[in-house]
Amino acid sequence: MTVVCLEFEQPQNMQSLAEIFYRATPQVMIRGDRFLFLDISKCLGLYSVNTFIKRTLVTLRKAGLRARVGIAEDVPTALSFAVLEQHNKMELPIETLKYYFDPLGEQMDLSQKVHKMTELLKSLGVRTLKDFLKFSAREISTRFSTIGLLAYYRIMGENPVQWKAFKPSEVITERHEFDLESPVDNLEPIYFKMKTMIDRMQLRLRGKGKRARQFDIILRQEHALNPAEQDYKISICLQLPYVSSKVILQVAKEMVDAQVQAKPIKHRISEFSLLVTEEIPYSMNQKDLFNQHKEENEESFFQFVSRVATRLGSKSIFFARMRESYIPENNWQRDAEPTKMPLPVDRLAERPLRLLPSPVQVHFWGKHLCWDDNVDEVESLENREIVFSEWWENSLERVYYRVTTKKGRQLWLFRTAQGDFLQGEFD
Amino acid sequence: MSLVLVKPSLEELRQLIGSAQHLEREKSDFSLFREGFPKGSIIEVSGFGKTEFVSLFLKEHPDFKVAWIEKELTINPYALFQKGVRTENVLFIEAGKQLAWCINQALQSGCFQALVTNLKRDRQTEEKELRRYQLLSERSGAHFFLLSEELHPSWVPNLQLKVSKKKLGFNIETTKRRMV
Repeated sequence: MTVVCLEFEQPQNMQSLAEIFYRATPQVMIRGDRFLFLDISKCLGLYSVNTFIKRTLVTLRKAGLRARVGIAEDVPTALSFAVLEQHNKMELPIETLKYYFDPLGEQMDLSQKVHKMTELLKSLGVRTLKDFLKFSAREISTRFSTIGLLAYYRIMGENPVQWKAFKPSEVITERHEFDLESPVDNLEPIYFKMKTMIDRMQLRLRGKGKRARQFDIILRQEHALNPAEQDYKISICLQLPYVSSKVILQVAKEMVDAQVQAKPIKHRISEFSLLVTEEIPYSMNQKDLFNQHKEENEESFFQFVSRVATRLGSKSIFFARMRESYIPENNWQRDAEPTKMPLPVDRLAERPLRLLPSPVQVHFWGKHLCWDDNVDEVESLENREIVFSEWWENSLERVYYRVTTKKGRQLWLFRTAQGDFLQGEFD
Repeated sequence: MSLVLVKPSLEELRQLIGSAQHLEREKSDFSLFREGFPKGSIIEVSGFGKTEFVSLFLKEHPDFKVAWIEKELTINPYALFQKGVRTENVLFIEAGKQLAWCINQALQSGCFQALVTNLKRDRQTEEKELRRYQLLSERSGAHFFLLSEELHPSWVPNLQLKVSKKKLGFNIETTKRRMV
């Protein structure tokens, strides 16, 4: 087994950090709020230990964190290596017995007993684990009962720690509380913190093999009288994949600025959080080393799409995916990304380039055609096409025909039992 | 004999300056319009058959990334597909009240080789706005197709075409040409 232990300098939200590393291995465990264990032995076919350490350091830098790393064959030794920055198990001081007895920090009530045992061993001249192993198992059990024996076996490499199944959180939230004595009254400190939080949010989602499609920025106002006003919410929509956190930050900043300008914040902000409201699968994209310009172009394209989607809503900006259907309004559908599916074979008669959002009833008056505020004279009628709905849908029958008017317009009309309707124009 | 001084209006002067300036621009070929369409210019098209005319140009340039921006979308993507336009490269935007903002953003992004829109032209605002679009499309090198119901006299568009669809092909009348 190869276990990596990360010891963080400051107490952290370990659940969120564990989610970041969930991408590297599903075997993740936590000790308190400063230690994270990762079992990478089953993943060594994917990456070497060195690669893993390098990647880990980059990831931690992105998340704005620093940690000490310990690598060993078992959990307590990796923990001891991380804490003491040593690499020789047998030379570890006898004080590390507490880690062997309780590596996950779950039996702190027995820590007094372990401390007593360590002090006694030190008084007997036992300084290192190597000295400790000179005792026999029987001697240890009679003098130090199960506590000593458990630690003894763990040092020997027996009785390993049982890994618990790690469960990533269902909803990804990143929160930052401002100092209560000096809450924020402008947006700059929020933007300053937002970059790291977006990075973390992205890393956590990538750990789950996902990316954010939509997230909310929630600014909590300090003294809002109305509870509904307490949370100032701004939704950000990321329409396309592979958007870097730099672009996300730009889009978010723009949106926050625009919304705050339109509806100013009334109170000081005591806390702000990012809440992912829609996740979609993340697909990796290989970096094209030979065409860096293309990547830059794509980046600015994604930025444009995200910016427009955030302002207008995700349904207002789209690619069209063609579908096989006789009903003109069902011929295509809105897709967030360009389709990778093969295009359907076109078996339909010519369709008009302009379709009205909904058909408009028309009336014939002699040779004249009237609809809304328009009147035109009919010159010719041609191209009859009868369209039926699919058998599993509501029964529908339309007789389509093309009308050429005296002004030269070519209108596309259909006739049903309810009358004649204008649906489009061959423009 | 008295001398009568004819004072041309500012708009007429602008049109005269525009027609006197001849800067060669890179062009995109189009079989229906032999001269081709200059890159980074506003091309205003009107007449029945204008959308088909533009879609045939897009068909001939399948690699172009296109932004199709309308206030309320009436374009039928399936018909574009029938005309042979590569719809995977066309991004549709239903801009509503944010039409001007969307066009600005699309041109500023520099991601598109062609932009198609159907601005409802209003005499008061159009000149300034069109001038901005023209500068932006010049900078990005994009073709800016403006589909209008009628051609308005304006000094900004580089090319104004009145098309009418015939049984075989199109009848194209160039009503204005500036810096082309």
